[in-house]
Parts: sequence; C-alpha cells; structure tokens
Amino acid sequence: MRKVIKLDASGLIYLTKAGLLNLVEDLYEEVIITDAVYQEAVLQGKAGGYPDALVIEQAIAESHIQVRQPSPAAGKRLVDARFPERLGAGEREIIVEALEQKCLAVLDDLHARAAAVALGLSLCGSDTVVLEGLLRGRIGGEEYQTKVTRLATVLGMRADDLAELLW
Amino acid sequence: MGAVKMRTLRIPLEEEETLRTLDEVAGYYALSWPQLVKKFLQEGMQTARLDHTAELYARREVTLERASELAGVSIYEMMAHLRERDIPAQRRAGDVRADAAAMLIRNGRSDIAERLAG
Repeated sequence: MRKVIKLDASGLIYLTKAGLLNLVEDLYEEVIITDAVYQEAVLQGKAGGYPDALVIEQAIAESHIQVRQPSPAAGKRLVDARFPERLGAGEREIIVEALEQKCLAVLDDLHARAAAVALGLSLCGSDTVVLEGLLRGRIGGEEYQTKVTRLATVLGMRADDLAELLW
Repeated sequence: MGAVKMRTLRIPLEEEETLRTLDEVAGYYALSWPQLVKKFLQEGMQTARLDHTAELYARREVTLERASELAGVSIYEMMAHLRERDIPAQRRAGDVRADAAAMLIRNGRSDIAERLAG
C-alpha cells in the first residue's frame, strides 16, 4: 500500500519553517494538500510576503506536494460531518479527504484532532514525522534531536511537552 | 448589493493634549479629524480582533487556522502574533505520546509502542 500523508495548512507551514519538507517527502510516497490549504499556505502567504509560501509553491511545482480538489464524495462528507465552528476550512477538507482515501493526516490542534478521532481517522502531529524519520533510519539520533528541537521551537511547544520528544 | 448601514458616533474630546495631538497627526496624514478617528478606530479594531482570536486559541477553543479566519488574517500572520504574545502550541505531551505509539504500530513496532505506553 502506498504511503500517503495529508497536511493541513499549519502543519505544512510549520514543517516548512523547520526545514523538514524534504524529510516528509522522503518518508511518504504522496504528500497531499487540498485547495483550501493551498489558498492559506501559498496564496495568502505570498500576498503577505512570507518566504515559506514560496518554498511550498516550489515543492508543488516540482511535484513533491500534490494539490487535490476534494472529491464529490469528500464534499458530501464535508457537509454531513457537521464540523464544529472551531475548525478552519483547510482542516475540514483534510479530514474528509483523508477519510475518503483512508490515509494519514497531520493535525496538531486540539479540535481538529478531536474531530478526526471522532470520525475514525488515522492522524499524527508534525513532530511524529521526525520521529518516524528516526525509526525508519532516514536520520540519526543527533540529527533527530536537532530537527525535533527546531520544530518544537517553531511550533511554540512548551518545554515540558518538548521534553517528551527528547532523551 | 444591499444598502450600507451607517452609524455616527459622537465622541466628546476635552483634553487639550488630545486635541493638539489630533491636530498634529491629522496634519501629518493630511486627513480631517473624522477621517483620522475612523482610521484609528479601524486599526484599533483589527488589533483587538487579533488579540481576541489569539486568546481563543490560547484557551484551546479554536484551532490556529480557525483563529486566523476569525481574525481575517493569514495563518502566517496569526502564527507571528501568537509568537509575539508567547502563546504556546496546543500540542501537549499526551498528544506526542499517543501519536508516537500509533506511528510505531503503523511501522510494525508494537513492541516499542507497548514499552512507551507502559
């Protein structure tokens, strides 16, 4: 089975800021975002002059990241799911798309995760990707510590929570 | 397009200092007093909206994406605002552990996942 991962806008931006897009592309055969995520991470970012938006755009141009429109089935699920107002448009699309494709979604924030769990979606956080890189031998122990610390700093994780990722 | 609703505010200003400053700043921007006050109001409202939605994020009531939608700013701008205000990520140690265990199981390492849980 192909290893596919879907990213919401915040996860995509955080992984980009931490310089981890290459690792995600290395670990997964398909890295997918939706139209809403593209709008938020690329178009709005470029309009605001954020350089990370250009990095993401480049990764899309080089086909490392694919942008997919939600399928009609996902569109119906989007309506049926009746997501709470606490979630953003990109997160909703990613959740229903990942459910349709039965693949993994990266979601870091509480209510997006809660909605995903309630719908039976397989999910992980941005930091899990780095840990997976270590487990699968793509990065060594020292590199792991550096990368995960950088990501946690970008994410704004509390020191106690970051400690969970280090040893 | 529907008719635009207009309301007029009357703001009594008495302090000499405030009146003098308004004159100076209005001159600087080449605006009338009403135009200047409207500009201040719009800028102040945007800041208040950003602060309010950042607070909703800090209380874990909305996600970062939703916070940016509510504030009418990009996710990048909201991220920068959260950072400036030193608001931590919603992700907690429990999430990290749960996701690590699930990832280990996906990769056929239930043995390590069990040790992690234990």
